[in-house]
Amino acid sequence: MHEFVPQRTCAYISQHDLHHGEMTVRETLDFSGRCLGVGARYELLAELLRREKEAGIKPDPEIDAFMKAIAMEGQEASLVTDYVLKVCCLPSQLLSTISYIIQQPGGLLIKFYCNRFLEWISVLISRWVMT
Amino acid sequence: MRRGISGGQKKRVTTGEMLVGPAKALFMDEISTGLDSSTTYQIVKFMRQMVHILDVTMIISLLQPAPETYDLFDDIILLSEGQIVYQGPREEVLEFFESVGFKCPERKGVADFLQEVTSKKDQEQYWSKRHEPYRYVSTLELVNCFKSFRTGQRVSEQLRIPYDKSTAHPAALVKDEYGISNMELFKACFSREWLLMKRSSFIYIFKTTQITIMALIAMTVFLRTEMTVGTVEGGGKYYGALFFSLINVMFNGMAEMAMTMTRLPVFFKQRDFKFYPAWAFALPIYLLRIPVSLLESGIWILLTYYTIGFAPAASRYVDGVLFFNDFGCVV
Repeated sequence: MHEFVPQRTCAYISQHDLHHGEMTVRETLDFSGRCLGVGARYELLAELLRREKEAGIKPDPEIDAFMKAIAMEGQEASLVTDYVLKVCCLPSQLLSTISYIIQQPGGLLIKFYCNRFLEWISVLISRWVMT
Repeated sequence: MRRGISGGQKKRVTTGEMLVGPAKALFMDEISTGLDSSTTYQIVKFMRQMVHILDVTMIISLLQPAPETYDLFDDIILLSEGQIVYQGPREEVLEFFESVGFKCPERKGVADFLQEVTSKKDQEQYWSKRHEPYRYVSTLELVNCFKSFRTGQRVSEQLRIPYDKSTAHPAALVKDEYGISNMELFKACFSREWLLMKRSSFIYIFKTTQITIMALIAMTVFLRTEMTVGTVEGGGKYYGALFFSLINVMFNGMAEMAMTMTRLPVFFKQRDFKFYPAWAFALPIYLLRIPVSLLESGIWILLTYYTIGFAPAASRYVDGVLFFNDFGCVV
């Protein structure tokens, strides 16, 4: 029947950093978290709630909210991402541009010309506004 | 230049990308490649924190770690010639080699010592049994020594007890291939694609401008006042105009191909890690490019169709737009 999928229980982290340079660190992690899902967290939470109900324990509202937040599937941004960003000390707003440039040899040149073009346009516009 | 993240941060993003998922065992393959020792130290320090806080298991392979990096690890697995020479707590590794007869000098890094003590060339300098003559201790002998050493015995004792599957939670082993439903996968990939498209909107604006300029040139070259209808000579020119249109719309889509191509390495990685199946990658790209190519072929036909003097019926005009749009999409 259903075979166990090892790729989803463990993760291999290779030497190569392959990321989309146009996305920020937060977006990269959010996307990955959204795709990978919450795994067994939802089932575990359901089981926990059932046992709590049986034993008549009322969970601490804050912890309860946290547990429910990390067990929710398909969110665009999640608490788990926040946490990983914090533990890894990563800047969330920066683009992972460096890998992008290394990835494609022509990338640097294209970016350079794009920026020159944009600068040129903005200079033209500012001149036009000034006169 | 747009601001990006540093090499060390990039490595942490690579790790963080997997950490946000439900995986609890992480295997890191020489993550220090291309990094200096202080960055490696920092990264391993974060890993250590994560292992202790998030309760995950990490196996990190490192070549020549600095002593302070080495000290961050809880357990050591020493591999030599494809065999496990030592596996157990970091504190006991020196004791094990001393029991075999090799001593790590005081001012020597333990990691370096471990790497050299298993090699035939460098082993002799660490020989500590003064009253016995040195002889080469092969990897096989070291493995056998480890089996009789107390750490090795503890490991084999732990392994001897089979795991009782009935105590495991049924949800502990993942049996679905993807983490979320197909619809959610599509939504996630679609929103990412849209984001990437917005980020590289300059290219699309540039391409649209380019095809507008090309259309202006084409319409002045093939002006209908100079092209007669119903003659062989005129027909050749009309064919030329059609062919030129076709080539232009087609090659306008070529840049797209290169862009998709550069994204492939990331796609292969994410596909192999079961982020999403191939269709979830391709479908959003395909769908989002349709309006773009419609716009481009629309502009082209709008500018050139009547000025070149193709059949004036409105339905033919729409046919033209759709035909060129198809070509744009195929590319």
